[in-house]
Amino acid sequence: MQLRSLRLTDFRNYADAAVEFRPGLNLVVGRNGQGKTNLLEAINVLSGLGSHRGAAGEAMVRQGAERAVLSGTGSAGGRDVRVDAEVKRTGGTRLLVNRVAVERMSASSSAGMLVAVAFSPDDLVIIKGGPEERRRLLDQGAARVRPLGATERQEFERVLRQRTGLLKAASTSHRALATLDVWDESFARAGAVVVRNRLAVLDRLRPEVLRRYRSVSGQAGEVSVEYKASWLEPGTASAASEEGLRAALFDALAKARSRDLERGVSTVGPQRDDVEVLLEGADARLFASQGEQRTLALSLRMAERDLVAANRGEDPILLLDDIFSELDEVRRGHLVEMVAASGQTIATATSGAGWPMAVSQTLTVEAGRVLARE
Amino acid sequence: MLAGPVQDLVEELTRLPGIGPKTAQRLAFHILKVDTADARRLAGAIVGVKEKTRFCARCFNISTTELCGYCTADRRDPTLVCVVEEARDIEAVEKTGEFKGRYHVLGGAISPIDGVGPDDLRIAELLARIPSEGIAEIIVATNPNVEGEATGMYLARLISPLGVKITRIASGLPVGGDLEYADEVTLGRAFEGRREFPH
Ligand SMILES: Nc1ncnc2c1ncn2[C@@H]1O[C@H](COP(=O)(O)OP(=O)(O)O)[C@@H](O)[C@H]1O
Ligand SMILES: [Mg+2]
Ligand SMILES: [Zn+2]
Repeated sequence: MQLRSLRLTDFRNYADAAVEFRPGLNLVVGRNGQGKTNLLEAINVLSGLGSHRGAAGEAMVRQGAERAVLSGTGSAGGRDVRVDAEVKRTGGTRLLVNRVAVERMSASSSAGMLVAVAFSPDDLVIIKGGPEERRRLLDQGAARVRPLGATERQEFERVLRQRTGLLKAASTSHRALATLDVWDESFARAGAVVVRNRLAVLDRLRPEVLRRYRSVSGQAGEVSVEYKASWLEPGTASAASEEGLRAALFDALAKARSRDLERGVSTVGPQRDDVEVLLEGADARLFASQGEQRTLALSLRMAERDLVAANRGEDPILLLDDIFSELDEVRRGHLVEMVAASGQTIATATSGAGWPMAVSQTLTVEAGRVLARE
Repeated sequence: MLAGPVQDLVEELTRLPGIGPKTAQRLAFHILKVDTADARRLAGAIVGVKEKTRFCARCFNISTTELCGYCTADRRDPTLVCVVEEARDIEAVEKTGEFKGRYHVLGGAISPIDGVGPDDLRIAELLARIPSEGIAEIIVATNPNVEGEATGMYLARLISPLGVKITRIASGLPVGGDLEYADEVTLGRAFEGRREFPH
């Protein structure tokens, strides 16, 4: 998979810029605040995943402009592909693949689509941050491997909003309660599907994380990732069927009903679940050292790359945002190995120095302009 | 600044669904240019639709008479009722030519965040029709989204115990085209809803 050209119009600090990329390692160099991360963000938007920093459309449209337009060409699955994206200031992104409109959420797993995996220093939040960071990793993974994954997640979000709306209304009107049974059933059904998808992603990530961690750390450490849900018996998640998950969730909702009504929120369910990253059997969030946490975060992203590569039968485009300088000598070595084994990488840095491998081209970014430098 | 009457018209048009300020202005200036007779015809059509139509007393379809055409047609099966969210959905079902029963328009779907509960829909009216019309099967054709499904489930809970068959239309693939061109979500759902070949 390869990105050959990218055009950005009114995107972040780019008024109008065109960039050509090559196979192998493309190094994007520039001082802070010049637009390096913005460039990678544009590529992530084109791959149907939205901003890798979780920014809204409003933030991505250049100040003073109404909409940003991105256009990329390249090859995926052995065919030429052209992807166009329009990001509106008022929110909402329209994606066209080979000039045909596609559903943005399911695009990230569509065949023939340009797919990227982004690495950034912020990835440390997967280990150190709240449960929502780890849920996002799994939900994004589910959307990457199955187009329905994204739809199923959206449906659950919708049911959750409706159930919460009902709980709030029920505090003032008893009449509203009449449909709570129905929403509980919808919630259990949609929630079980989301959890089934997350578990499937976890099962595929688990061996890759272990392999990557051992390789990057150079140690025979035990690493595991386990799903944690208050409504499931500990340790039973991975063996549970969708039917079993639905029944367990339905039971838990019944038990939580009076509490949920009292608080006006849904206190159990996939929206509260977590993933425990375990190092030598202990929760890495609490017990791992800073260096171990960094290695785990890197290993999880690498495992995500492996998942996408296996699913596509082709390497995704690697986007490395300023992460080289963050790493120590050993971890750098493993990153370089991954880059050398991949089809195409676009990496940003404040300086072009230090890469112990062949660089295909160096691009310089200055205040929203991109210059190729041989 | 627009003259008062033009401003009024722009404001009224902006309140219509799917019409923003720019479109409203374009429409207003178009109406300014047309003959007075054309403008009167448009105004008449708008007023006419309000004054000359009402809801069918039985199924709540839009009608010019007490009962709508589907409710009074002889050849339609009165024991079979298709439940839809809005009157415009009837036209979609009719176009298929596959359904020869009567209809029931709920007037929306259950949606707590929009403040719509069962009492805001014509559910009691549907239940009342079951004995009086001898309904044997109810086909739920609400929208294939979270709210449409929940509404269907709610109806099923009320109606199944009455000994009336209640069914939900399937979601499927567009027919006649190539599988290759079906979107992933529709095709994926079609797999979930697969059926066995009859032996
Ligand atoms: N919507 C926007 N419109 C105009 N400029 C923006 C917008 N969003 C961010 N910027 C500018 O982009 C610059 C940051 O770019 P970034 O890619 O994060 O820098 P870096 O090169 O350090 O990665 C800042 O100067 C910021 O003001
Ligand atoms: Mg940056
Ligand atoms: Zn009628």
